[in-house]
Amino acid sequence: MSEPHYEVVSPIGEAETTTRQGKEKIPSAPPLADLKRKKIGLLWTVFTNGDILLEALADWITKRHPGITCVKLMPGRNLNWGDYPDLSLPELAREMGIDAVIVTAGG
Amino acid sequence: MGIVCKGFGTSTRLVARAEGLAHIRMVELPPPNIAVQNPEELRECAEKVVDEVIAALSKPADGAVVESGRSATGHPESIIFSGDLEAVNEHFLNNVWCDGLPVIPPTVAKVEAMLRYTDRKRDEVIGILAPRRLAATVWKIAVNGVMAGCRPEYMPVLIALIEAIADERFGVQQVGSTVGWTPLIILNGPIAKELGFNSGQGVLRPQAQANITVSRFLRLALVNIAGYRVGETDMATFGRNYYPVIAEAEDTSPWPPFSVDRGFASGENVITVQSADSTSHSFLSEGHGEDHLRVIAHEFGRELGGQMFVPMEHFGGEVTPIIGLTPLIAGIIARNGYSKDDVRRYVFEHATVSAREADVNLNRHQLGLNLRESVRLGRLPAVFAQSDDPDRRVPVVHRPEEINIVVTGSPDRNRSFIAAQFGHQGFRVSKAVKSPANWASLLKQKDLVN
Repeated sequence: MSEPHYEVVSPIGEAETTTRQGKEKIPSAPPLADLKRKKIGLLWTVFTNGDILLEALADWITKRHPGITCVKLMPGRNLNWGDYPDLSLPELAREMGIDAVIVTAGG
Repeated sequence: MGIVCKGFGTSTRLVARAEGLAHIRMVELPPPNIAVQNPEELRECAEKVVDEVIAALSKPADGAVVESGRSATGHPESIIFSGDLEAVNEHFLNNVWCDGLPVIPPTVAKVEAMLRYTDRKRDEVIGILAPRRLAATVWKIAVNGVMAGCRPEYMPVLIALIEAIADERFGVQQVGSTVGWTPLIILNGPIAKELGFNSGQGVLRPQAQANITVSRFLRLALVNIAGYRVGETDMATFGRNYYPVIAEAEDTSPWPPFSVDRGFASGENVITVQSADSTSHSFLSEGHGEDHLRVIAHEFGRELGGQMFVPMEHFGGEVTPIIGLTPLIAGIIARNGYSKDDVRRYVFEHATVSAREADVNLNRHQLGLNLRESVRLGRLPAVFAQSDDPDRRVPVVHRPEEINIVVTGSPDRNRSFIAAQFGHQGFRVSKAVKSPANWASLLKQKDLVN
């Protein structure tokens, strides 16, 4: 006796993901044209030792590229360094005149 | 740009892509893991990657990423494979569309049978599930329900469950964190009996079909709709298997049901979901009401006063651990005059940890962090820094109201459990289970069929 045959549908369905902006893709920021007078925001997202690594990295960056300033970037309005990032973060970064952001996570 | 530990590159790119960022800048740190490195080692680590970081900022972002289990294309109702039971299961295993256990083949007929138990449209989007951000339509919920072995009549519960995890407060995007927590589901209301959920002996054992298959459905939805795959987007260090649904023993509980604590009317069908890393051992207690409470508070403090103190301090200002009590223990406590609020207050006041121990745990998380600093930052209420005596006792939750009490399990046993919760990672969300208008007649038909 032959085994029953099954015609099955997909548990996933469509191939397209639904991004926060619908089907719109978010363009990546352009590269820094040069390293003169640039302000880099350091964003620490909770994880253990991410703060220490970012501080060490900022130290190396400013030693090798004196034109760069690194600042601790709060993860949103009324939040502290190390808090979970909030949706107000991009606006805050713009207000602070940040040219680029380095985000770190830990293990 | 992002800096991640070795092994998190694929996960980062997949999540970024689902969020709409096809190209990102990222540098992977050399192993082992910054959390176990001392400041000197971290400084060396930073020096190793500093040029790479600057180079990444100075050139266009890139976006190559490979993931397992590619999506099926075309109409959701299209036949994507045909074969016998073994072949179907091989296909699903190869595509990482399951949990490693055999699935019931999701044929159109089986899915249609599920859809009879809801009056919502098959293409209605119940929620968008991160990290992959696929739409959880009623159809896809039915497909994954079939695969999990759910009976068609479970459909209203499955839809409510997806509504709950799609709620932004739940934070479904955190399911794949290294904690490896698993959603814990609590069901209240007459639907639990109607559908045959176990609320008694061995409630957390995989035996009653409703309890275990509904929970399995949730795992399959997380794999197939949210897109969680171990080692790609699911970065659980160990992980946990799914817990069978906890149905509350409402008939034998001396108190109003948990769903009433959650703001629903008594008798309403309600599902609640929240994170749990584990459920504690089932501990014994004896004697009068306060004797039981003393033991429960001690175990509660022990369970939450160690490393779990850090999420309490850091993960969003509210944690909602569960105390699971058998009807026997709940009855003894109630007969001694304690309401649920009294129990919460008692446990809040008596489940404590020394300030010294809390400070040690906070400092492990962030050098220099302690209770006083946490209060200053607004993460903890003032009660945590009332003096500088390191031997003073402090609570292990912020407020008594955070403590959930659920009556369940073997009715005559004197054991309880604690299930810790991770704040904004899997925050507690409750949703009404909405059955279709013809629910009563559907249930009658079900009984005739069964």
